[in-house]
Amino acid sequence: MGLALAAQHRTPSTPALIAEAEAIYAALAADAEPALAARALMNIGRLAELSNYLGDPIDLASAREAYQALIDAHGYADIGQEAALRYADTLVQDLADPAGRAKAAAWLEAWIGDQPLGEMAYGSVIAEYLARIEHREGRYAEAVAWFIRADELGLAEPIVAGQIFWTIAKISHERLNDPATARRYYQKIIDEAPRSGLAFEAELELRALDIQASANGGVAR
Amino acid sequence: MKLSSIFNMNVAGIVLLGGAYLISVAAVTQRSATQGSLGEAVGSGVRVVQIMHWQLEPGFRESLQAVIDEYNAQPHVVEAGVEVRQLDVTERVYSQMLNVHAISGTAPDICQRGRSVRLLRGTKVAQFFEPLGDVAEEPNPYNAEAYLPEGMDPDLAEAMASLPWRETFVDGMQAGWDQSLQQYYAVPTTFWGEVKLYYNASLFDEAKDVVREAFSQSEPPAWVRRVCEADPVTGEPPLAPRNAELEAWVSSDDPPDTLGRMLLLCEAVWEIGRRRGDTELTPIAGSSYSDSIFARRYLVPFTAGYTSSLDFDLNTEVNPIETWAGYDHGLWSFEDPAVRAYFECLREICEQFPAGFLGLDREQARRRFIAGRAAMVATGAWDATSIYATAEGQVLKDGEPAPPGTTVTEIDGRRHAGFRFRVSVMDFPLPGPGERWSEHVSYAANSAKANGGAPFMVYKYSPNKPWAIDFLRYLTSYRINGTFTREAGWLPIIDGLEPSDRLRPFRPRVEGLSPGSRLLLDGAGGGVFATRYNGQLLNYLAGTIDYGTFVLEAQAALDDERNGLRRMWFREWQRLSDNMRELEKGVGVQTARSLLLDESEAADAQAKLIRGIRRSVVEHNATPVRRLWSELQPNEPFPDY
Repeated sequence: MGLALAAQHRTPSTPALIAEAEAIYAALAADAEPALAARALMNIGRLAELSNYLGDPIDLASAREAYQALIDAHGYADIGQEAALRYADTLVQDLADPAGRAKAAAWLEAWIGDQPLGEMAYGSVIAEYLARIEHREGRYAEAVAWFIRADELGLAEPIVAGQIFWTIAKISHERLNDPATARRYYQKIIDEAPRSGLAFEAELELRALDIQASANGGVAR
Repeated sequence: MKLSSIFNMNVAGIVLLGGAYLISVAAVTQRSATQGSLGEAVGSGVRVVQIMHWQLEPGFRESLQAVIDEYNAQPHVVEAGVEVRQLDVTERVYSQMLNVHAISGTAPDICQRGRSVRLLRGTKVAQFFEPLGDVAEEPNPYNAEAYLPEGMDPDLAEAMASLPWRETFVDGMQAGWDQSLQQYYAVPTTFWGEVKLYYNASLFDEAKDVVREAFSQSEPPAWVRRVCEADPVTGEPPLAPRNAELEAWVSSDDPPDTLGRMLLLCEAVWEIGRRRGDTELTPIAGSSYSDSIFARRYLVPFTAGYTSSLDFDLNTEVNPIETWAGYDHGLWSFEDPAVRAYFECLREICEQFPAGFLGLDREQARRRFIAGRAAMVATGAWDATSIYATAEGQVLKDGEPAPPGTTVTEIDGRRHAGFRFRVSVMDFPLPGPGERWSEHVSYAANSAKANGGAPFMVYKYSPNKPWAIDFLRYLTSYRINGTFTREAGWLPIIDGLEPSDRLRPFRPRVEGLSPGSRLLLDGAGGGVFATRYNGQLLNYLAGTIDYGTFVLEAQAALDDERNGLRRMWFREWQRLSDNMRELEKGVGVQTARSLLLDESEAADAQAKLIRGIRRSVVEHNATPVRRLWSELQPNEPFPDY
């Protein structure tokens, strides 16, 4: 595995190095103990999914095949979750298909099925990933629901918390007519993500919501 | 015999070169004999730990040396025969020096991070520098009770003693975090803080007197009319309308709180220069360094309104490709009132700089200000010590005699030896109500995301890594960081420490808009387009070309088939792809760690792996930039170079 990783990542990358890495990964995938074999198969998928050197063609179909094999073998185990994310992302990356994003979201949601995200190591990442796709697709209610789910599960990357809270609040406020959610997430920016650079604007938005609520005879903060 | 045959210039050059070489060899040999090679222990029994940096501003080196001296005197350091020494290097050669020594295995034990060390970016950081994630999670031993000052708040003392090292930093040690490597690689030792306008308060007082005198005249002079009356050609509102508010401010001692008032004082400073016959006196000590400071400060207030329409990737910020793709698709224009106002405002400010300011550097601007030849200079807290000390002189303690030949001036009850003028600082003022451009501005940008400064890394091949880390812990302990930054005149980086009154204004401001909310014109995405665009912008700001010419030149640069906007798209995709490859290496490292290391380290690797994979899938292997291209111009293939 060490040799294969070194060959995969040595710079400058060459066809020979990538072929060497692929051969070792293939041997590991066939014979090594399960954890190593699974990671080797994942890396075979990644080699196909990325352009590793100048002129290396991207082969999304082969990548998908490797990820599907992992999903089939490992189901909802950690490596299966990672493979599911990777599989969905190959659909997003298919630039020839304008519906790639929508297909990815549909595929990933179908894969999740009834499985509880809270019990998955990648649960929060999957929820955030779906939220971003839905947001991009303009399905705002779905986007907010997934973002909130990711927040409930604990964001995998705390640095982007402010940006995610802002997105939830802004969509809730401007697209979904849901001032309560907007208010909650503007406040979360101030309380939990003051270094995001968005706290001052969140305060302004809260004031605007207060004014709007007063004008409508509602209750301000 | 001809003189030229006796004195051949080529021979003289070779002799000089040979002489310089021999002197260099002698200096290196002598230094190696007495101090040891970089990063090595010397034979005298002393283990030398070197710390290399480029912070040559007055105060920093002296303060760091005081900390080093105190550390070297610690019993456990003496017992181990360790001696920390600082190696201060000019910023002009710092990158080259670090690159060469890092690769040759002879870098100092502790090296300052930054200074555009291109070679040591991305995974190269991991190759040459020690990951500090594990030690960052442990409490700093120099924050133990025995090292904390007496009378300290007990809750703060307990937190300092028990919290992980990284959590004792104001920025959570973010300045040392490498996002692509998911690891801490540096330890910040101070805070850069905000850039402000230093002003000569004595000159401002004089300028105010000149304004008062002008306002008392029945027919105001031309320089007052230029500021206080509408533009006679364009009909635009006055820079500062003469109304009751302005009159009240003029009669007060307050510094300018609006852009119009600042420009009024600028005109008064020019008038003072004319009266004195001093052609060198200028309102702002501008330089090639400061035009971009003003450009960045005013960008957010003028152009934040474009963020919602240009944020194609929905990350709440606007990047260069979003800016220029938006321009190409008519989402903004150089003729938009807010954009035009931004550039006109910048040009008006640059008119307050000395002639030929593009040929002046940062140091020349600072010297002009402290020589009293400029009313203002834009810079940060790092120049505070030298500016205050040079302008206001040395503050004498009770009973302390003044140095011979200096005069003593009493200010606010304190005696200053060698006083020249009073200095104060202010924010970059925005146009006030009714002033020109006021309808186009919102709020200033905040700096809530500001991270620590002067970060130091530990060289991976140093034979003294434990001592290098120990010294960095010492330098960033509560008591020592307080002393260090106070003496250096820099902002402290450790929680609970307060800057001196003079440095308080430089603390990052939390009020204001996100710094990512703007057109990203500055830098313009790098490459040839950026060079052409920035060059024409400077020509416009320096008054060499008019706005129309600047726009035509910018458009021509953008339309350039080879190096224009199409190239910018390609470069952006290339940059993002490179980032993904770097990320993939980081993911590879974490997968290896999670598979091959023991349980506790494998858990840490798994957590980092999840974050790496999150970023990898969220960024879709750099394809969004290509998808955006095809959405904006469906029938055109993505540019390829």
